[in-house]
Amino acid sequence: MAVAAPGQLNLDEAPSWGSRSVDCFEKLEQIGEGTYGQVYMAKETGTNEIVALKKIRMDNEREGFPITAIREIKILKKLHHQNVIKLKEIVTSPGPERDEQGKPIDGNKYKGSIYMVFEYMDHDLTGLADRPGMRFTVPQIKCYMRQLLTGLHYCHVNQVLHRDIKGSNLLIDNEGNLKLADFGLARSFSSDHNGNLTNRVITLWYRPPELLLGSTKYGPAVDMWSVGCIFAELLNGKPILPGKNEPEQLTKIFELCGTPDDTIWPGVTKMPWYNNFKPPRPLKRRVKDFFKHFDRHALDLLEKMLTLDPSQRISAKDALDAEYFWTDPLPCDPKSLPKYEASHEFQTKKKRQQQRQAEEAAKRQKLNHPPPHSRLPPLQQPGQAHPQMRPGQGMHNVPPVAAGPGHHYAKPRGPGGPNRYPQGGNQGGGYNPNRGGQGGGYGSGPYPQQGRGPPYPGAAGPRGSGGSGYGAGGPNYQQGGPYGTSGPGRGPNYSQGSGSRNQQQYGNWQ
Amino acid sequence: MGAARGEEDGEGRCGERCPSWYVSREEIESGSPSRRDGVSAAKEAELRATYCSFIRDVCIRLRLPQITMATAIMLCHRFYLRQSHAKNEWQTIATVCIFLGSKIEDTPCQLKHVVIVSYETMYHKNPDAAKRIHQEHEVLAKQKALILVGETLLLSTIRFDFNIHHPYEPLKLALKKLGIAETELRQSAMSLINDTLPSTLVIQFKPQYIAAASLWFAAKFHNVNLSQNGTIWWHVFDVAPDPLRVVVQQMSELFEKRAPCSVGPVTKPVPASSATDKHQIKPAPTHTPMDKHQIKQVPAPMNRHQIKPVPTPTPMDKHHIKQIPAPAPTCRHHIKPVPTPIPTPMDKQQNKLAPTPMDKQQNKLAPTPMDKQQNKPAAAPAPTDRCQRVSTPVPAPRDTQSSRRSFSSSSNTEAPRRVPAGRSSNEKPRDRSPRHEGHWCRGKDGENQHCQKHRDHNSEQRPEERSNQRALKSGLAYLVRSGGPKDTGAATEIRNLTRRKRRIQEVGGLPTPVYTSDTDAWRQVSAVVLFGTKGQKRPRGDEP
Repeated sequence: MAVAAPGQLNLDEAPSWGSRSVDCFEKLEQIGEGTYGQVYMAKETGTNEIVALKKIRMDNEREGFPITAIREIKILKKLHHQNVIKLKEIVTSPGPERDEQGKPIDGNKYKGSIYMVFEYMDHDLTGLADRPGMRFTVPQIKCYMRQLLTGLHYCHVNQVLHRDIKGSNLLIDNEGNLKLADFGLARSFSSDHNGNLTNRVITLWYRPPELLLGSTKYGPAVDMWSVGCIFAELLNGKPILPGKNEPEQLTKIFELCGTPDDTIWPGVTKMPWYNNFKPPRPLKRRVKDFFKHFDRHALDLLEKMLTLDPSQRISAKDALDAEYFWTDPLPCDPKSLPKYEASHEFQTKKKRQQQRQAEEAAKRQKLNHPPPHSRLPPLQQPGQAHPQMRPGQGMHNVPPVAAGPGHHYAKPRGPGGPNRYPQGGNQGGGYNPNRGGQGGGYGSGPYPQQGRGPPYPGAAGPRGSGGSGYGAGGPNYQQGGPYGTSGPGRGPNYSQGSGSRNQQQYGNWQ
Repeated sequence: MGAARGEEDGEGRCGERCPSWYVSREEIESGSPSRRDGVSAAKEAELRATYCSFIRDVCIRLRLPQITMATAIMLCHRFYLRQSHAKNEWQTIATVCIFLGSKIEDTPCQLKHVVIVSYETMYHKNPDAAKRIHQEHEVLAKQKALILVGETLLLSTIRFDFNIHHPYEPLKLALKKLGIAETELRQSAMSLINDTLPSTLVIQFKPQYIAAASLWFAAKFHNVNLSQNGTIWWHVFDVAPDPLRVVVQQMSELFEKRAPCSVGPVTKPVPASSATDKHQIKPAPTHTPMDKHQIKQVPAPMNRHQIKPVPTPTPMDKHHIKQIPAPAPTCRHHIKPVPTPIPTPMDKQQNKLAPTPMDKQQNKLAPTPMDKQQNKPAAAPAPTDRCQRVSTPVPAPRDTQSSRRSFSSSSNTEAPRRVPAGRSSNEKPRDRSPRHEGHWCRGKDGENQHCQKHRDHNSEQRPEERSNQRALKSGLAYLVRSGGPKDTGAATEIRNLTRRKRRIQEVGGLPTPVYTSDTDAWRQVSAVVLFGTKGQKRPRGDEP
C-alpha cells in the first residue's frame, strides 16, 4: 500500500516500453538547419539503417513540449503514403544535452532533447535543381509533378493542409521517389471547421493571394497555389514570384495574374486587406504571355493552378487528370531517373559559400588562374534515354538564370577544409553555425512560425547576373534544409502585418 | 475476450515495439506495475477514481472542453498502465496529463494556470496551503518545474502517441448512419460514455465498442428500436458481437455496483452493511405491491413506505426528522463512524458521475436521514415541488425509477429477440450477485407486470418531458451567461453548469435551501476527509 510521495516521479528507470534513446543512432552529418532546429543524417547502430533525425527545439521551456510539434506528430502518424515522408519514431536523449566534448551544456539534468526519426532522402528539390549543369527533362518534370500531386491529394483527402509547399520540402531519393516533408505548419481541417486559421503560413514566394489578403477561412486551394509556383519553377528554371515582402509579393502576383475584382474573384473586395493592397491601376492577366514558351498542355494546367479565386483553382485530384500527364512524352518511371550525389539545399549552399570564398581569395592574390567554371566539370547525364526534346523550346534548355537579386547568408563562415562530397567522411566534425539567436523559435508567441527571415544582402553574387554557363549564381532561397527546418515566410515586418499578427495571436489563433 | 484481444493486437503495426494500449481485465488487475510495488488492486482502483475526479474538477475550473478532459483521463490511464503508483505521485501526473492533454486537443492552457488551479484544487479545503501558490513565487516556480519534468516522463511513457480516440466520434457517425435524430437518446448515450471514462473499460476496449454499448443502453432506456430499417445496428460501428456483449456486461456491472472502477469488490464487507443487505433481500416479494403503490400515489407516501422495512435505524430517523435545524452535525456524526465502507473519493466520484447510484449508495450505507430530509421538501406544497423539479435533486428519484424500468424493459425486450442469449445472460447474473438474481426473479414472475410498467412509463412521459425541457432551458440560460466549457453532451453541460452555480452561490455567500446546504455540507465533510490529510502531508513535502 505504499503510494508515491508528493512530487515523486520515476525518472531513473529506462523501461523497455517507453520511447527509445537517441543513443541508438550515430549522427553522421548535418544535412539541414534553420530557425527551428537541426536535421542530421544518422545511422541506426543495430540495423545500420540510414535515417534523418530532426531535433525538436525546446527553447521555450515555459510551456513545455511545443504544441506545434504535437500537431506535426499527430498528423504524420496518421498519414501513410508513398509520397509522404514517413515518421518512424520519436527518440529522446536521456541526460543533459552534451556538446562535442561530452560536457553538459547546462546544469539542468532533466533537459534532454527530443528527435523525430524520418526515413532518409538523398535530395530535396531545391538542392537538386541548383546543382551545376542540372537540367530536368520533360518526362522527369512530369514524374515529379505527378508524385507531388498524388501525395498532396492523399493529404487533402485525409483533411490535412500542408501549408508550406516549396522546393526544400519536397524530398527525392535516388530511386526517383518524391515525398512531401515538413508538416510543421500542417493543419487538420474539416468541411465544418468554423474556427479561423492563421494566414501567416506558406513561404512568401509560394503564398497564395487569399492569404496575402488576410483570409482566415481557407482550404486545400492554398496548397495548390504553391504547387503551381513549383510547377512553373520547374519549367522556367527559376522562381516565378520572388517577392521581398508581402506588398511586393502581392504586386508580383497581380502583374502576372492580373488584378482581381468581383467579376473574376467574387468576394475579393471584402477581404480584410483588400483595400490596403489595392493596385493603383487594373492589370491584365498575362500568364500565357509570360510563359508562352511552355508546352500548351503545361500552360493550360498552370493557368488553372495559378487561378486567383481559390474556389475556382484546380484541385490535386483534377490536376492529376490533366492532359499534361496523359500526352507524350509521358511521365518517366522514377527508377529510370539518373542517380545524383546527395543534394540538400543546406549542403549546396555551404559548397557555394566555400567556392565563393576560394574565388575571392584567389582574386585577392591576383594570380593567373584558370576560369572558375573549369573546377566544376558538369555531371554527365544519360540523356540519351529521352532524346526527343520539343522543337522550338530553346528557353527550356537554358540553365537557371538569376534574374533577381542573389540571396545568400551574409555570414559566409564555417570550416572550408574538408570536401563533403564523400558521404560519412566527416563524422566527427560538422558544420555547426551559431544561429541560436536567429528568429524567435517557438517562444515568439502562441503561433511561433512568423515570417522572420535573415536580412537580404544588397549585392548579388559574383555570378548573379547574366546567363552564366553553370547557373551557379542561381536563386539561393533563404530556406532551411529538408525535413522542415525553415520558417513559413520571409520579408521585413510592416505595420499592417504586425497589427494583423497581433490580432491572430491573441484573438483568433488556431 | 479472445476475439477482442486478437482484434486489438492487430492494431499494433510496429509489433513488439508498439504494444497496444488495450489490455485485458486480468492484466489490469494482476499485471499492473503498481501491483509489483505492493499497491493492491483495491488501492489502485481507489487512486484511479481519485485522479479521474481530480482531472474532472481541474478541467471544469479551467473551462476546458469535454474532449480535453477525456484525453487527459486517457493519458493518465495509459501512464499507469506502464508506470507504478508507488513511484509516481498521482497529483503530479494528473496535472501533467491536463497540461499535455490541453495541447493535444488544441485547447492549450498556460502552464501557470494549470499549476495554480491544480494546486488550489488539491488544497481547496486548506485555505492557508492553497494561498501559498499565490503568495510565494518559489512554490509556483517549483511546481512549474515539477510539471515540466513530469511532462517529459509522460511523453516518453506514452511513446509520443497523441492520436487518442474517444467514443464520441463513432457514436456521432453511427447516429447519422442509423438516421436517429432524437436529442435525448444522443445525450443519454454521451452521458453513459462519460460514465465509462473513470473505469477500466476505456483501456480494455476500443472506442467504437464503448460507443456501441452506450447506444444500446440508451436505446433501452428510451425504448428505441435500433434495428428499424432491418439493418444490424452494430454493423454501423464495425464491431464484433461477442466483444460487444462483454462490454455490455461490464457496463451493466459498472452501473449495478455504482462503482466507477469495476475491478472486483473494492470495499470490504462490514457486518452492519451485510446485515443491511440481508435485511433488504428478505422483503423482496413485498416490493411488488410497493412498486405499484409508488406508481399510483404521491412520492411522499412512497418514501414513507420505503422507510418502514428498515426497522433498525428507525429511532434515529425519527429523531432526525423532528430536528431539522441540526443537519450538519448529524451528517458528520453519521459519516465519521463509517469511513471504511464509504471510501470518500469514490463517494465523491459517484456524486459527480451519476445521481442515481449516489442515492442507492446512501440508502445502503445508512444515509437514511438525508433521504428523509429530502422527503420533507417533497411533501411541501405544489410551488415547492415545481421549484424542486427544476433544481438538481429532483432528477435523482426519477432517474432511479427510470433506470429500474429500463433494466426490466431491457430484459423483457432482449428475451424474445435472442432466446439462447437471454438464457445465458440469465444464468451469469445469478452466479455473480444475489441481488441481481432477485431482480431476475421478479422478471420471471409474469409478463403482466412488465406490461403495466411499460404503460406506466408511457403515461409518465409527458411530465418527464416538461421537466426535461425546463432543465434544458435553465441549462441554456447558464450557457449564455457563463460561456462555459464546450461540452459535447448537453447533459454534461447541465451538470457542469449546476456545479458552477453551486460554487457561485458558495462564493457569494448567498443563502441556500436547506437541502442544498445539507448536501454541500456532506460533500464538504467528505472533501475535508479527502484533502485534509493530503493537505497536511503536502507542506512536509514542500519543506525539504
